[in-house]
Amino acid sequence: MTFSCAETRARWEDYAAEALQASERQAIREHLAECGPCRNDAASADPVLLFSQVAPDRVSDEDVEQVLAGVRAGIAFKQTERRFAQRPARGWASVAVIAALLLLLSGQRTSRAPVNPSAGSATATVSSSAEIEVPAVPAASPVPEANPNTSSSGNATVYDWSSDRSQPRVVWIVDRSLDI
Amino acid sequence: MELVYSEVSHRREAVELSDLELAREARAGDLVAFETLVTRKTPAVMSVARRIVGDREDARDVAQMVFLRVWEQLARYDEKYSFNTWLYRIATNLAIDFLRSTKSREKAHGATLHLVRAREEATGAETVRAAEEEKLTRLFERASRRLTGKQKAAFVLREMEDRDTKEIAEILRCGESTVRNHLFNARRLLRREIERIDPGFFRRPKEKL
Repeated sequence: MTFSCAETRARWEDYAAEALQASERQAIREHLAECGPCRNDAASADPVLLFSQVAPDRVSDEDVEQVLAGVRAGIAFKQTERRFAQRPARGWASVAVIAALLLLLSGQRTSRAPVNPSAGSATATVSSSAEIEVPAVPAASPVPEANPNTSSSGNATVYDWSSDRSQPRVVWIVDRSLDI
Repeated sequence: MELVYSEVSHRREAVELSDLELAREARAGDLVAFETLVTRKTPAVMSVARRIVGDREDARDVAQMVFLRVWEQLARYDEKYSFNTWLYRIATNLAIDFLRSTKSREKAHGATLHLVRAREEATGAETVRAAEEEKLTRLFERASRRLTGKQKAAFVLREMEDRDTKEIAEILRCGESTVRNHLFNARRLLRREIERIDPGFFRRPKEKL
């Protein structure tokens, strides 16, 4: 469908009132794009009509690259954020399991002869879901409660508050690989 | 080298897929498909965002937010809507949100920066028609500041993107009669603002446009 200048100008009001068929509306937009005098007339009659002639914004390849780079970075950030959000629960569960196992082991050990710290290479491997290697806790000479015996391996640090062999042993293990 | 080759060929394959097919691949975790979708849809998203927020750099920020939101929500994409409708819905919502936050910022700091930027960008027009379009774009940016986000989005989608009112209703999640209402009010407010900003526009000499 095509319209002459007169037909186009006769339909300004219907266009603005959304009262035209899709094909009529399209014909007016096309005519307006081609005809300078009709654009002049529209500017006087209802300049809002001319906004139909605003071309889509020119988006450069550089714009697209920048958006893509930003989206990539955003996805990477969100994935990292999600991983960290999942870790604490797993981490604390592992620490709790290790602590419980160690408490059990150390409880058994209190009935045996004290381990000689100078034996040095003794290393106990604690099985857990996290497969953390923990060094044997040095048989502690009594230490003040606020100042535990501390030993470290590549993965974990063990804080040992045991000061009395007759009491259940209290140890705290911090797994650095789970540290956030 | 194997990996690079395979990624390049995968990219070629992805380019040939439709929007919906790419969305499905992306939903299954295919990042290459998603990036193809981003590359393909950025011009349309940025164009709509630019008309609504009124600034190219802001539009780029909005486009990034749009695609991140798409990435997060792909699992919830309902295929009864066309992918474009869903994408435009996210784009217009985020652009309207952005506009609201910008408006409150401008209220606090004054609106001068926006006008300075507009003047700088306007100098780049090359042809007479391009200059005419630039002028109209600037006029729209200024005159549309009094419109609500929904009015502006409806007008941009209808007049500048040439979408029909049914699709706009789906994008804005409202009835068609509401869209017509938004359009009616948008046109009324735009006329009033143009008369205020540039009174000569209604009576301009014929040779100027």
